[in-house]
Amino acid sequence: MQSGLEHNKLVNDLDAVIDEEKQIQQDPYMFTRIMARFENRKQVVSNNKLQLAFQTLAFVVLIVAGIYSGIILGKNYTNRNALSADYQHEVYYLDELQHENMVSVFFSDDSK
Amino acid sequence: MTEGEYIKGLKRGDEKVYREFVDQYQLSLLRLCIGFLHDEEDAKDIVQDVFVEVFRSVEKFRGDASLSTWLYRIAVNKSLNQIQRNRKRRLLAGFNSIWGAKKQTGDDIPDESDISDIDMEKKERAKFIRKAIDLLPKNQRIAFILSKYEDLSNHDISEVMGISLSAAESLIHRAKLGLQKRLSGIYKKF
Repeated sequence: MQSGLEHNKLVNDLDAVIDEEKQIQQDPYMFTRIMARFENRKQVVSNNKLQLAFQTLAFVVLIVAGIYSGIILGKNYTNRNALSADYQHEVYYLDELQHENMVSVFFSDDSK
Repeated sequence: MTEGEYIKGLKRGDEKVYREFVDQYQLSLLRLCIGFLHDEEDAKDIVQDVFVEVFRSVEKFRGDASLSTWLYRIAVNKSLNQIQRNRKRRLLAGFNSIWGAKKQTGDDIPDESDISDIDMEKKERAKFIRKAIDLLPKNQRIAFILSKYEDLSNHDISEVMGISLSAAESLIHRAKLGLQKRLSGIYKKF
């Protein structure tokens, strides 16, 4: 069990430590430092807003450019498509009639 | 200047009011923050942060609580956040010292022969007392520091913490008991 004397000493020491810490003095430059920080933060916030605006603009420009170039590429690709009328037209003129009959290829005797 | 006048001046952005406001509340906030942080430079840093936060967000201040209550709340929150940051920093420093990143030079170590045994014992006790305060549960610590370092009444403490008067009283009482229990063990060693 804690004795009364010990308890008093403990309370006194506790108060002494707290009182010592409470002796902290006012900082004469506190206001100047606060204002510097405050102005700095305001500037950072406005810079951030400007940066955000530029980022959004750049993003929109990139998206539009991407869509536009996609359309252009798509259009060009359609002209050279294998299924286009020109290509089918060329295929149509191959002289298939002169080709060897498949049946004769399978049953021909190569050993001769 | 009354609280209402301060609020009006701050909302107007009047620099003269800013200065007077800082002069008026600086010391109270420094005492409160040092109670949590036990370091003068850290406390000054946090107090600067508190004022910047107040200047920045005074427009949003609705006046539900008094200006000083609002200030104390911001100071308590910022101090607790700083404690977390310090803890992480110490952890990182611990890792660094394990990996031998920082070598201590002889100049960093105080010459213990210059310090008397009595001073050493006093310093050790103060260190234990601060440690015991830091080890209190969060709400008990806040209530105790507001009571002891800032001499706030139990009613004001309940306002700052957003709890009932009886809850504030109970927290302070339990904090004192906790400190007695923790420190009595240590005192037997001395």
